[in-house]
Amino acid sequence: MNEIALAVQNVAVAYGEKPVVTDVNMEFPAHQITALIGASGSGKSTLLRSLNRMNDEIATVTGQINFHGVDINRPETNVYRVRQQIGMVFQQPTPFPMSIYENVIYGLRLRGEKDRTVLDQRVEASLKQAALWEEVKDRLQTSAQALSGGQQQRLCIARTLATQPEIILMDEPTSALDPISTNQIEATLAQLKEQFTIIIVTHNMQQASRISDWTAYFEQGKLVEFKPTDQLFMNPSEQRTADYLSGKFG
Amino acid sequence: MENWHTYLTGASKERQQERRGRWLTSLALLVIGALVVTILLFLIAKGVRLFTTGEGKLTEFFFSPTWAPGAGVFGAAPMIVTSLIVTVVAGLIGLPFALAVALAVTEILPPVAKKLLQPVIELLVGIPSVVYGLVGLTVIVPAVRQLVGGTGFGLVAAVGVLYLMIMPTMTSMAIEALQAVPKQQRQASAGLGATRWQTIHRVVLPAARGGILTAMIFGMARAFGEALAVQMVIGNAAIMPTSLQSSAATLTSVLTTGMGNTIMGTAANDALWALALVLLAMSLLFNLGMRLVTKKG
Repeated sequence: MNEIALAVQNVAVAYGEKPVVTDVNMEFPAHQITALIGASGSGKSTLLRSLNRMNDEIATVTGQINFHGVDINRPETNVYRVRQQIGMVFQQPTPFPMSIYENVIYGLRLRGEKDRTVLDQRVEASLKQAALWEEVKDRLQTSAQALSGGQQQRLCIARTLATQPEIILMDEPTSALDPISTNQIEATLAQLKEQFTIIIVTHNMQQASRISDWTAYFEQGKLVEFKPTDQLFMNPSEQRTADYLSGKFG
Repeated sequence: MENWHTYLTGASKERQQERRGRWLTSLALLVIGALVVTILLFLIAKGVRLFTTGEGKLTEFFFSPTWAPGAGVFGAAPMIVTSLIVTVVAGLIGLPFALAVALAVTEILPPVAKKLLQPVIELLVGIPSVVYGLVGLTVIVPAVRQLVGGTGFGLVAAVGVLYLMIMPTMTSMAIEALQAVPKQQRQASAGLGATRWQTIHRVVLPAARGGILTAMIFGMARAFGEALAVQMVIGNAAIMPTSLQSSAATLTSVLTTGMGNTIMGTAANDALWALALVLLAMSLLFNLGMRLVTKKG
């Protein structure tokens, strides 16, 4: 096993009194794509959103989330810095009401970056990494909301890349997109893992098997099995995983 | 089925219902349309009489600072200026407060705050303007007298009353505008490491700009058209205001005080109709402005 990017210990999440995730322990390997799969309501998205504290004020998260040896699931944590290091891409494309250029540098602007050369470079690099550069390089100053759904989602990925996080969390990033856009994003992800650690929630088992190196199967808020993707799909050790993969459940 | 043709294309309850519905709604539309056109034509016909009879001149009406209907001088400039001043000042003071309350409700306070505040705001919107005038008369006018001197009646008091009156409307419209911004936008911003203030200032406010401007214009339109509450506190002196304390009169307050005291067909009466026409034109402008900002936003 390689280097660990993020380690989760005894993590449980509850909405009010209702537990959604119970006692999850897992270590996310660095520079790999880890897929979280499971039926609706299995707690995979909730767990993902806890990893960069997006569940603050929504749910109660207990347990430890260790990032560079620091438990970031503590009240004194600077959540804004955590989210700069652990970025998130959501299910719905969410371009902000501004130009493509301004969308990409949004995170840098937040940190007060003003140097034009730095910003220009970062825009080009991020859009290239997100495989969007060729399509938008001549209209960077036009509104981002005029882009197609697939382009918008790649823009959102570029926007996260521009802040140069270590880890990128993706919550079903292609479920609102058509198959062609989905392919483009999957191809992009394969390139990105050299530089980033990616944790992706997906409803689509084929997608998990295509793009991920590791897969974790969740059922009713519990982590059932967490293995290298080929092993989990070919040879699951838990009956429940096998049932889910073969469509007997969920 | 014996006769498919009659079954599928013949007379039926469904088609009759549809025809009747279309007829009823068209009729309603026609009545409303006719009403609007009639009011417009009537006001225009009445409003231009002052000038067609030769009693008043257009340049005098818009630029002369003297309003003396008894002496045959019809300068509406003081009222037009006063109406604009009280409206704009009330709107400009009101917007930051309305926006602050709206932001607190939608972005900062827990959802329960909105549940508590919503009925309060709705109640304030529904209070008749005479009550606001009464509050102005018993609270604001004496307060102005204490603080800035003079009689207390005048522009400051009018602005104060209008501010109170349009705040609730502007607040509830601003709340709606902010809530129309999808919550995913806020999440996406937070996911990039933005603080709440950064999200509000860089994403939420720009996205809601059109709606917020509409709220301001709507509030100002209401202030511009308000007669009673203003008339109770402004002092009703149809002179060009020289300072914020001076007594003045708005288009509406002159109309309400004058309408009962003039005789139909006289120049003094025609002059009031001309004022009403100006009011109507201004309302149309406010409407147009609102359309423009919503289209852009």
